[in-house]
Parts: sequence; structure tokens; C-alpha cells
Amino acid sequence: MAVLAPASGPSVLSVRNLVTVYPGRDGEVVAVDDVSFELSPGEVLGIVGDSGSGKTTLARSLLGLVSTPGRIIGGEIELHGRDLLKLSHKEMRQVRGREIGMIFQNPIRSFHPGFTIGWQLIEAATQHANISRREATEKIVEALTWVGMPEPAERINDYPHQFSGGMLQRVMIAMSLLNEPAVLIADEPTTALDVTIQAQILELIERLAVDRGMGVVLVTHNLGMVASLCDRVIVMYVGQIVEEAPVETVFRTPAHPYARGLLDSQPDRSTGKRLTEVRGASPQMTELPSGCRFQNRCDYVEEKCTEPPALADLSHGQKVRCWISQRHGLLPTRLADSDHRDRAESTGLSGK
Amino acid sequence: MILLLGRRLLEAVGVLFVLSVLIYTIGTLVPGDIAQQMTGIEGATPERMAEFRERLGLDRPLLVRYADWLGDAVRGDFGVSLFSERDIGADIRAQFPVSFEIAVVSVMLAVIIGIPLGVYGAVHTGSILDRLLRGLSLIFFSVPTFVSGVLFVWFGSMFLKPFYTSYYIPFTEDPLANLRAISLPCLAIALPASASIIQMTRSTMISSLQEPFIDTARVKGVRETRVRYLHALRDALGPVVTLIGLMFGALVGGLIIVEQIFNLPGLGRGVLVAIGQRDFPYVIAASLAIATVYIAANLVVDFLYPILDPRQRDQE
Repeated sequence: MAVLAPASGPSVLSVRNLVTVYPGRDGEVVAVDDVSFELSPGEVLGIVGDSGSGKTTLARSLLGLVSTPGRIIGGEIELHGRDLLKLSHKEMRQVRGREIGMIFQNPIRSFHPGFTIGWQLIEAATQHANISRREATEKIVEALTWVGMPEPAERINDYPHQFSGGMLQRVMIAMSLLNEPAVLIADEPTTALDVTIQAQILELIERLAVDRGMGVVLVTHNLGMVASLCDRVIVMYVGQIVEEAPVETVFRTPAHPYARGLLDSQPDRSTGKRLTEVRGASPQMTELPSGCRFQNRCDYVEEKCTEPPALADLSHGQKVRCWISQRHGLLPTRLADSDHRDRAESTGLSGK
Repeated sequence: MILLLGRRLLEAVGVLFVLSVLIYTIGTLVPGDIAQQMTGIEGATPERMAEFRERLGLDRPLLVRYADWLGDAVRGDFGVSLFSERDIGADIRAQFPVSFEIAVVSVMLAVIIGIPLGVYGAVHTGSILDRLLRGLSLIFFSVPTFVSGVLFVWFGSMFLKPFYTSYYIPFTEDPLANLRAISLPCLAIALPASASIIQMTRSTMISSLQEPFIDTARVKGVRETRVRYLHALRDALGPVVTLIGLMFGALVGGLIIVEQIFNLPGLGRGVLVAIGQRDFPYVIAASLAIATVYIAANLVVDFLYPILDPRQRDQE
């Protein structure tokens, strides 16, 4: 692996003040707004948010895959101390697959229908290493064995449509580890799969981090997946990080009202609590309110919220972008608790 | 897969048979009495016409005549022309290569022009050349061949003498003279054909470039040229190959106008002359030859498709 400069601290990947924009009809859309985070080797970092939160754009930005006309206009993406945004196209190509791997949401559509699995894996294996076809074949069979494919040596001659989605996602993971990258970006890797298969894929991703020391960025909207797999979580809302914390902290004491809303809208069998939804919808990227972007959906909203809050440290590595929890050190017990609100509405006491 | 292709082959034979019945029936039933046509208006006494019908076997039932004709036809004997009394099979065998050559060269030309420009348009969507190409292909596509053909004749005879002759010489006799004779007619056909190939290539290529597997290739670190011209183009070609196949099939019979304008002794002109003379045995034979090429072109596409798209191979 090409380590050009000594890594500052234990991070393998440091993202600082990343800004990615898409020009739109009604002005520029800031899909990733001033995002910073660190990723350590062997760590699984979850990035959670609704669709439109910018989490997928963030993931794609890391590999320079923002689709035109979108572009990264600011920040740094430092891998092993080297800023990827300063690399030429050719140098960036060397990073892709060799230093950062990526797996996608839809494994079936992520393979070329016209080439065999073996052909596509060998292409990946020979892209950065000057090895013979036979060595490459050995390598891919080994990788396929590692991800648990039965009879890999025979099946490499099959075409993608002859595999199930779950098996293809295994092949995808095998492909991404061929060049042993330091970082793996997984963009909704189980969304398109059957629930029973999801756990198997997650287990594989966990093994990548634990056994191979890869840093994994796991992009998802599924909090259950985050809970079972991640060490740390970033919650994104309309392009911004609204909360970042170790996974237990977020689940026990979410500091941002949106993070709490997300948790309350997830079924939890152990408590059997009634599900509540986050009311309203995310604002349009082109019509953002001044100040906190969550204010129109927030149960805690106050006057101060018309000023934009900064992402600030609370404690124990928990960061939050919310005036209220920053003032209280945590999010106060819900004022408008769902039961409370229901009662207020039924008695006609809710302030219109 | 072989089973599938075998079935296609059988189907093609079946289609050809049904077609022969249709063509023969229509060819025999169209208004315009052959006997009257041949005896001439003055000499058309009922006795002479009856004698003629008997000589041609027209007094026998249709089914018997068809069976008779089919028996000869499968052996390549299509009878003699009612008009010139020449052997129809021999005439068609002489005319067919002319049309076939023009169709092959035209389609090749259209492919050579169409695919690269279509790919360019897809890769550089919205660029000046892309917009220019879209405008031009719209024009080429809209101008009918009888207009563009005449323009080509005029232009060729005035300014492009080396590329223009008004008589046809077979390739086997004099390749250069042959190319002179067919270059302009082929261009006249290839331009509108390439326009549709450009459009088709451009749109399938644009959608291929947006497929998730293109991202996968980029993420592997594959060079952008390889991503575009191997991964995306390979995926985009299927529908284009279908279009080319159908185009070719339609062309062999669709040369009537061009052969007329450029004075080429092909099948199209032969049919046109025969229709004018009510020479129905000839029309039937030529129609069948054209239909055969069309079916064969479809068959080739059917054979090519599983090669281009492995997903087709496992389909029953």
C-alpha cells in the first residue's frame, strides 16, 4: 500500500469540511454541507439518514464518483495523509479499488450482464497488480471462498443472471477485497436483499473490519443494521451532520431531535413501545429555512432555532447540531411526548 | 440455447411456407386478366383467351396450380416470364446479387458512420457536435430517398464524376467500375439509415452509461476509455444490432426507388417492371426472394442476440 506520509493519529481516512454541490434549476443544491469525520482501521462507521440527506452523495464523493454536473467544491479527503481531492484522474484511478473499495445497493444491476463473474473479478484483480491470468484466477477463487461461495472455481464461468442477489453481493464483497483496500464504502449493501440474507452480508462486512482491519463506511437508513454492526454513527439531515456519537450513546441518549425521532420510528420488540413518526417532511434543498434545518419538524423548537446551530461536542465523543441539547448537555425529556400531544389534541388544547 | 435456435429455424421455414401461399394467392387473384393482357385488346376474342388460359394452366383449380408451382419452386424453378419468356429463376439469380451488394454496402456504411457518431453523442451529450449531429440526422431521416437520390444523381454527374456512372458493372468483372456505380446509391441509402443508427446508439449508450455496473467498473479503477468503449458499448449494442438486422432485411426489397433512379439492374427494378407488365409469376418469385432475405436477416439477429446478451441464452 502506498503510504506517502505518516498518518496523523490513528485515522486511515479523514474527511474535513467536505462540500459537494449539484447545480439545479433553482440554484445550487448543497448535497453535502461541510461534513467532517475520521475513520480508524477496523472501525465500522455508520452514516444514517433519510433519502435526500446526502449520505449517498457523501459516500460517492469519497471516491470522486459524484455524477456530473455535481462536483466537490471544498474540503479535504485525506487517505493515509494524502488529499484525494488534489489527485489527478490517473492517480485517483489508482486509489479506486486498491486503497478504497466500494459496494453498492443493487448487486444484480451492479454487475455487467454481458461478462462472466470470473471475467469481472479478474478485471478487478489485474487492474492494479501486474499478475498473470492464472494468478488472478487463483486470487479470485480464494476471495470467493472467503466470502462463502460454494464451488467458486466452477461458478466463475457463470454470468451474473445465474446468481441470486445475495450471492452476487458476496461476489461484490470478494471483488472489493481483491486488492486489500484500507477503506471499504458500503452504500446500502443490503437494501435490495431478502431479510434472511441481509444478516449474512452484514456478518461478512463485519469480518472485513475485524479480521482484515479495513475501515468501513456503512451508509444506511436502517438503524437496526447500525446497532448490530457499527462502532460509531453519523446522523445526516438535509446535507449536514446533525449528530455523531458512539453507537451505544446514540441509542441510549440521542441528542438531536431528529436522531431521537429516527429511533422512535424504529420498531423495538423489547420495549413494545408504540411507534411514533417524525412529523412533516424534509425541506427542499433549494428552500432551506434559515437556522436549524429541522426546526419545522421539531417538537423542541424555540426562538433561538432560527439561527444556524454549529456541530458542537457534548461529552463522551458525542457531537450534536442543536441549540437545545447543547444548552442542556442532552436532549430534555420530551415536552410534547406523543401521549401528551395526543391528549392535548383530543381536548382541543394544542396551541394552534 | 441450441434448442431455441433450432426452433427459430423451423419457425422461419413455416413462415416462409405461409408467405408463399399468401403471395401466390394474392399474385393470382389480383385484378387484371393475364390472358387479356397477353392477347392484347384487339385479339382478345373469347376463344383466343380460353386457349391462352389452357396453355398457361390457368383453367385448373388454384390449389392444384399452387401445388404444381411449389413443387417446381423448391427445386429453384420458377417458370418462365409471361412477358419475355425468359427463365425467371435465372433472371432473379442475376438481379439478386446487385440488390444484395447494394444492401450490404449501404448497411456497412451506415454502421461505420452511425455507431461511432452515436457513441460520441452519448459520451459528449449536449456538446456542439452532438447537437449538430442530432439536427443533421433529423434532416437525413426526413428527406425521402426519391428526393435525396435525384439530388445525388445531379450532384454526382456534375461535380463528382469519379464516383458516378449511369450503368452497372458487376464487382467480379471490374471492382473499381462497380464501386463507381454503387457508391452514390449506397450513400443515398446509408445516410438516412445511419441517422437512425446514430439515434439508437446514442440513446442506448446513454442509458448504459447510467447503469450501476458502470460505477462498479469505475470503482475497480478501470480506465474511463475502457469503461465507455468496452463496458458501456458492449451493453448498448444489443438493440443496435437488432435495428441493423431489420434494416438490412427491409433494404433488399426496399431498393425499388434507388435502383430506378440510379439505373441499377437489381431485384427492385425487376419487380417494378414486372408489376407494370402484370408478369405475375415473376412478381411472385421476386417477392418470395425478398421475403426470404427478410426472414434470414431476422434469423441472424435471433442467433446474434444470445451471443451479445447471455441472459437470453437461458430463456426457453
